[in-house]
Amino acid sequence: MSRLFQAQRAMRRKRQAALARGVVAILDVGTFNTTCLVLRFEQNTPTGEGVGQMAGQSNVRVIGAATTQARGMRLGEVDTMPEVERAIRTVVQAAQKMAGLRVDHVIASFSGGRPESIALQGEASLRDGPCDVHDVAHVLASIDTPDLGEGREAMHAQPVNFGIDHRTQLRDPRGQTGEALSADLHLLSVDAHAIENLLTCLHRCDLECAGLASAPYAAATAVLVEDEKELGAACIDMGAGTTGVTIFARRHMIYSSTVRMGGDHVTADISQGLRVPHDVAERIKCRFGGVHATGQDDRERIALEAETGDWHHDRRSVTRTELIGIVRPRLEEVLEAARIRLDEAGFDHLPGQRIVLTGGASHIPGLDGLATRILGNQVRLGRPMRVQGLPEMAKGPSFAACVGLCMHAAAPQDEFWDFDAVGPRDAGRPVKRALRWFAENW
Amino acid sequence: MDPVTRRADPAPSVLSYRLNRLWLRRGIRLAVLRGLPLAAALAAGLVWASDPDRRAAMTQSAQTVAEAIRGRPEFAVTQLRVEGADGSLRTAIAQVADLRFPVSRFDLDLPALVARLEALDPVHSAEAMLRTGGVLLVRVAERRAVVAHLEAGTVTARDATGHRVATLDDVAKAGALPLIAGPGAQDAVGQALALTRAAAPLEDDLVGLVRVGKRRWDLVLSDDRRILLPEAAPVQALDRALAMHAAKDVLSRDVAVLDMRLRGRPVLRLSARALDELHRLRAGGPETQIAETTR
Repeated sequence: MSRLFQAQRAMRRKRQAALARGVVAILDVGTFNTTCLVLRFEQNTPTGEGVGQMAGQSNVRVIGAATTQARGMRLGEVDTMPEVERAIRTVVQAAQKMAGLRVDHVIASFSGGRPESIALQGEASLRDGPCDVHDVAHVLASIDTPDLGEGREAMHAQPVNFGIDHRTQLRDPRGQTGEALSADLHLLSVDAHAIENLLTCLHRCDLECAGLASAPYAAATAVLVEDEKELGAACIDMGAGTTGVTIFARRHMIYSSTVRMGGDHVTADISQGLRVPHDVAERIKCRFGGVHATGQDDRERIALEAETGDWHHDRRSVTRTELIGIVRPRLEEVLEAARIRLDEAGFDHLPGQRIVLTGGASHIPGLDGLATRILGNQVRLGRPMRVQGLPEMAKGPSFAACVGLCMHAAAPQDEFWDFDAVGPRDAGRPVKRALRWFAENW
Repeated sequence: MDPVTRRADPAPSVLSYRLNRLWLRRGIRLAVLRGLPLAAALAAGLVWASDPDRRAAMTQSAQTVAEAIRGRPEFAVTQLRVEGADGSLRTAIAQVADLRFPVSRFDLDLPALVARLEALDPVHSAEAMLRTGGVLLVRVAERRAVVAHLEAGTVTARDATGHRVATLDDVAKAGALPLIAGPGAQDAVGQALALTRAAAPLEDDLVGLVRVGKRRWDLVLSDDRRILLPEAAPVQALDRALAMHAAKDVLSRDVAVLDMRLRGRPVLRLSARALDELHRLRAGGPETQIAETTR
């Protein structure tokens, strides 16, 4: 796992540099929107009665925010690199202008790259005394990197569970005694070229990457509430290009995957079915889209005006029922694909069955009703939690991933918790043993 | 059909993006907004000042302005008022001040004037200040002459610190001032005054004090009689001499010198005539009483 350690530690160093400077940018490169937030770290955690534990979002303030239409992205991946660069330049410059200062470090998220979850186990014997940081590092280092496949790269690797001897599900094994320490690691691998392309874009915009997160994971951290994370819940982040499925249990992500379908496919269906341009289809979807047709909808006609010169073509209209007839099957398909992913992950066996829908496509009215029929009873629409200074336009579910990244920056929960990876420590062992012998026998 | 118009790309070009980010650097912005104008102003000033003619012209005009301000009547000083001095000192002060009225107050150097005034012998301390109405007020504290010092044929009046106050024409001008003489007498005027005060019972006989060897005093009485006083504690020695005089009437006898220099052993030196008389009496008979020293 050392290569992964190295990459993560390099990013951690940059993140620490950004923390020291007090300013970091959040960049969510999505398929529909590209958003940049400029964060300033400040210590103003409110205290007092009725104020519970916060997820660290009180330590940051958004001082600059900009969002623009995404360009050059397809299915959450870089498609046309110069276009993506232009979009990044646009948002970064606008956010810098609003913040009035320059940002060099950026924490980015993207949803593409076909993330795959891999569960790994490792075990190490506790040789001397109670478990300490070195033992944890040792057991983490004992986990071998599996064969991720050609062109795959580990993006997140987090220990989700520790066990000592027959006791499992320890949150933190430090200080406990036993014979053998085992660890379960959740590793999220993504397409290496997708990461590489995004990093190249950032590099060509003179930005340094201080962290990289999978957008479904970031969205889930922002949207799920504490007890959902604890008991187990799934977050379905319905973006434009992809739909991310993330399962949390015992406060850790235990599964993440994406369905490579999203709101853009709905728009493409409308565009094809109604023979209208893509931007008109997008507008119609946002304005009239729905999933439950009623009698009222039969009478509501949507004008499809155009300027092609063909009189009959320019003066068409469809009923809203017809529109819903196009939107609904695609959304059902997306949700069913998400259901399949959840079943694969064994979501049924978790104590909590809550499913939270978020992302831009979750705006479609009636979606929660449709999702209830496909995914189960405990479905709710999730909005990201509040971050100080976040503009009103960025408070909707479309920006869940951004808010999740804010949390990521504010409470830098490292990919490896706070355990430093240490190499073999046999060098100092004889001295230590001699000292212990003295301590015990003197 | 809509006219085909190409909408401008909202994205900034690479160059404008880089320049924008450069501009957001604090150092660059400070350098451009503060440093550049400062450097430009400095450079312009240096270029302008590099021509000696222009420099001279500027100095000239500055001087003209300064002269114009200096010459205004509001700043003119028109008279000198002296307080605490009269007679010859007043004229001496006017002479030393050497002012031709009206004079601008910017041209007056009051500390220098005070220094010059205090260099005058009769002046103990002086202060000078400008008052409204163009008045230069000089307040002077005169030295008070307390002794007359005879040296090398001249008579000098001195104050209590030994500083010269005036030169007198002859001893008669000294009036009631006690006379002192001898080299270094001016350095011990305080002691001389104390001795004069202590010698009040001998007032009629007292002629003056003579400093001997720059270290001790002789009290000179009429008929050139002397009381030799020690270097240390001369006043107490004089008191003892006076007590001796009061008890034995020593000084009324024919004595030339009463030597008090040794504390435990006062010595009387008889005059020549008295000594002869003594010898004669001794030759005459042992019962004759002679003047003798007392303890």
